[in-house]
Order: sequence, then structure tokens, then C-alpha cells
Amino acid sequence: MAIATMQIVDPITGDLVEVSGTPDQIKALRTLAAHVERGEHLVVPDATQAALDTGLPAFDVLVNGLQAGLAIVGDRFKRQAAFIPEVLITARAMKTGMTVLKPLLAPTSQKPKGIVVLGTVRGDLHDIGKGIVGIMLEGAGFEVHDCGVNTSPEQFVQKILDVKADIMGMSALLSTTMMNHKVTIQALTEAGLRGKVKVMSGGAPVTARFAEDIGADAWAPDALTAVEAAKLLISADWGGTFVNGGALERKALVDTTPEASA
Amino acid sequence: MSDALIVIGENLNATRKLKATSPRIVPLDDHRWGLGYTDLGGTKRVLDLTECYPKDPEERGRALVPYIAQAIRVRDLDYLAYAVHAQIRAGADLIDCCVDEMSPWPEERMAHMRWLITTLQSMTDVTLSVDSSDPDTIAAGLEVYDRKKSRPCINSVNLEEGRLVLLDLAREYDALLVANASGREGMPSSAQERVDNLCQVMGHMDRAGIPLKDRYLDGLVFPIGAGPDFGTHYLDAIRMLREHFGPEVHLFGGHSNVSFGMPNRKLLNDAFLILSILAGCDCIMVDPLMNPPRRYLEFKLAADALTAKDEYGLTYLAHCRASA
Repeated sequence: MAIATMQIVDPITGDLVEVSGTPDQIKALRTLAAHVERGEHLVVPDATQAALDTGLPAFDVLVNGLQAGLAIVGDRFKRQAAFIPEVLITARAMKTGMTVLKPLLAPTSQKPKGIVVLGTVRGDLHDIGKGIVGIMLEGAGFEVHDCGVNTSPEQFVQKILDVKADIMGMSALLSTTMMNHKVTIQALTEAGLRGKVKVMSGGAPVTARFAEDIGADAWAPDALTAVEAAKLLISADWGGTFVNGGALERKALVDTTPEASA
Repeated sequence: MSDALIVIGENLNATRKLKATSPRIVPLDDHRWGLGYTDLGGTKRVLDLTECYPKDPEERGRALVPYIAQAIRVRDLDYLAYAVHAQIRAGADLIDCCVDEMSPWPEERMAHMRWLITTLQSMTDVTLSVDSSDPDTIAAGLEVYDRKKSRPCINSVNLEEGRLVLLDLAREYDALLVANASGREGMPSSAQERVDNLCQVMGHMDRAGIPLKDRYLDGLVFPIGAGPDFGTHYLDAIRMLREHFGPEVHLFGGHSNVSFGMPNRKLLNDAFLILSILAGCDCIMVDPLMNPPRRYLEFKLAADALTAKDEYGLTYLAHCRASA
């Protein structure tokens, strides 16, 4: 049987990974990734089914098809070659593919990469940017629990306990509410959770220096870098030092849809 | 500029940032960076940005430089005079002043606001809009406001906790009052929610006795990059508000928010301003240097004449005569 290969961006590690399969399988994955990349959410379910019909396991279709497409656009965004709406329609397309895959994914492979509790802190009602961070984290394989806006420290703590979160992400769009990031971290410490949960702090007025000063573990300048920072926080590579998303090393990634080679 | 269209200049806001890679930021020597500009007298000057420019070249690709906050922090009077006069010359009637992002500490914000208001009023008699999400910072700006020069404007009251105290301040200082469409529990997610929230605030303003012509309703503009319907939500709300409250109340929004995150913002802002005027805005909040307001004033005068809002086109004729 002929073997074909393609290169994809691993959505968790950001590394280039070679995927092999039959020419039919590789063609179906490339088609699916291209539809996701272009945000064509109406055709993604059929393309997902077509990939499954080549005999690929659902998990492979997820990682090497749906997430591969999202990773391409994500990388373009980080290089300022794509804009927010293009990232959002890609995430939407991915979601429609997930509805096909979800019933087929074994419970073990459905285990998320990490569980994230998100929220905009008390006194602040801005939800747009935080929502985009949530969408991008989900796209990268995280399980996201969004507490919404005006979230009290107690609500954060309770949600973290309820879902056994690995990461807490806080947003503030006002300098008048960003001090509540500090208050929320203090509440985590008092609840005995600070050692168990990694903390990310972000939002327009929040700077890397502020996030580090209040004792957060990471800060990022945009939603996609936030995903990178989250991946780093839950990886074995993280040594416990503050992650400044603005200075994260750029990985050399492919620009075009990966070519299959026979 | 004209009663037909009131222009709020948005450029003196500490949230304003430039990309570190912007060609407007130039090296001054090996270690110092600055924003080059030509003041209104034609002198080439530089705002020193070294303190807030990323030291690490790795960070510069995506870093944003808060240049207005820096100008206020280092008390650069030349740059601030340029920033305020350039907006006025371009057609701004009010200059919005916001220092919120300069500090998370209320005392520091209040000190910056006091200094900024006093300093700008030594340069101009234009109406300054004292803008903060913290009522104490607004109060600080009003305390030092010289009302012999102009009436102050307060930006802004809304249904969020603790904001209604601004109604009393508006009365105490005889201020113009901006009210925005935020709800008590969250940002509005539709046109109707904007209208409902502003109707409630209008009720509060009625009870506080704020004259209708002193009220500026901000319908809240969100970026279309983050939601395809955000432009429509705002425009529909403006239409409904104009119909509901009649011609006297002022309607506007932070119009340039609409293009956040998108390329060629000037073009999107331009189209959105025209759509907003057609929907019923008689006030616009813009960067008057990026989108010069004269174009929107003339568009509005012409549109009003064409649709009989300006009966017999008398305002239009007066404008043509004055600019002949």
C-alpha cells in the first residue's frame, strides 16, 4: 500500500510533526485542514466525515485535520499576516467539525490538555477579549470554563474547586479593576489553591510587569500568545519562572497548507 | 466647529498606543527612542519614549508603546500642546482626557488628572471631557477645572455600580454629561439592550434635572473584528434612540473602536462615521487627525438638507456662504 506523508503543526507543542497514511487519508486530512483554515464551517462537517470514511481514527482527524488547520491561521495571526476575524471563523469551523467527532472520541482521548477557568474580574464587565481567549484555548485542546464578567474572587475559587482547574485566567479592561487580579490571587492563596493552579493575567491595561508583580505565572499580549503561554505552563518544560508572552520565542512554522509527498 | 455636528477628539487618552515597529518611532541615539512630530509652528520635535520602549529587540515585534501616557508622565508640554491644538485645528469641539491607564492606584490617577486638566486649560479654552471609569478621578479633574474658560464635560455615567454619583457632580459643576449604554450586570449584546440601558439612565438624568441638550448618549461601539454584528447593533440602537428621544439629545459613540484589529482603519472609520450620521448621530468621537471631521460635518449638512431635516437647506446655505 502506498504511503503518503504531510507535515502539520502540533497545536500543543507548536512543533512540526510528520503524519503518514494512505494517499486517500492524507488527501482527506489536507482538504479538511484547508477548509478549517479558510473558516468554511458549512462544509467542515462533511469533510470531517470524509476523513473518518478513509478509516482514520477520530482522534487523528481531530489533531491532524481540524487542529492542524487552526494552527496554520494561528501562526499567521502571530506574524500579523492574519486578522482576528479570520482566526474566529477558523475556530468556528473547527467547532462544527468537533460536533461530528465528539461522539466518536474515546473518553481517554477526550481528556483535555488542561482545564482552564476564565473570567473578567470583579467590577469589570468587558467580555469580548476574554471570550476570544476562551475560543482559542478550546481550539488548542483545553477544557475551558468561562465564569463570565464581574467575577468575584470567591466565584473563581469555587469554580476552580468544582472543575479541578489547572489554570486560572483573569481579564481586566480597566485600570480601575486590574487590582482585583491581585485580590483574586490572594483569595487563591487563602483557599490553599495557589500551589495547585497556574495563574494567567491579561487585558488591555495589564502589563507583563504588573502581572509579574502581583504574583501571576504568565501574561500574554494577545489571545494566541495566551494559548502558547498556557501550553508552556502545563508542560514539563516550565520551571516555575514568570512567562512573559511578549518575549516568547517564535517558532519557525509553515506558512502554506502542508504539501503531501507520495 | 458647527452645531450640526459636534466633534469629540479622542487623542489625549492614556490607552493610546503605537506599535513599537511604527515608522513614526525613530532612534535618537544608540539607546534612546522617540516619536517624531512637527508642532503647529512647523518645528520638528521628538517625544522621548525611551522609558516605555522595549529594551529587548525580541519583544519589539509585537510590543505596543503607550506614548500618550508617557507624554503625560514626563510632563512633555510641547507634545501635549501639539496634541490638543492639532485636534482643535482639525475640527474638534471637545477634547476627551483620560489617564486611567497611567496607574492602577486611585491617588496617582487623580494627581495625573488634576495636572492634565490644569495644564491643558493653560493652553486652550476648549471644552475638556474628564473621562474615567473611576468617579473619584473625574471628581479630581472637576475640582481643578476653570469654568471661566469652558463648561466641563463628564465621561461617563452608566448603570454600573457607583457611577450614578456623577449625576450630582454634573449638577454641581454645570457639566455636559456623557452616559453610556453599559448595563448593571454586563455590556449590551444587542441594539435593544443598548436602548433599554440608556432609557434607564435617561430616567436618572430626568430626575437629576440635567437639561436634554447637555446629555450625550454613547451607544457603545465594539470592534467588528470580534463580532460581525457589532456595527449593526450600534447603528440600530442609534436609530431607535433618535426616534425615541427626538432631535435634542446628542447621540454618538467611540466610532473608531469599530475598526480595532483590522487593517486600514481610516477607511472603516470613514464608512462607519457616515453610516452613524445617517442613523442619527449628531456627534462623533474620532481621532480628528486620522479622520478629519470637516468631511463629516459637510456630509451631515448636505444629508440634512436633502432629507428636509434642515428645512429649505438654510443651515446648508449658511455654511456654503461662510466657507465661500
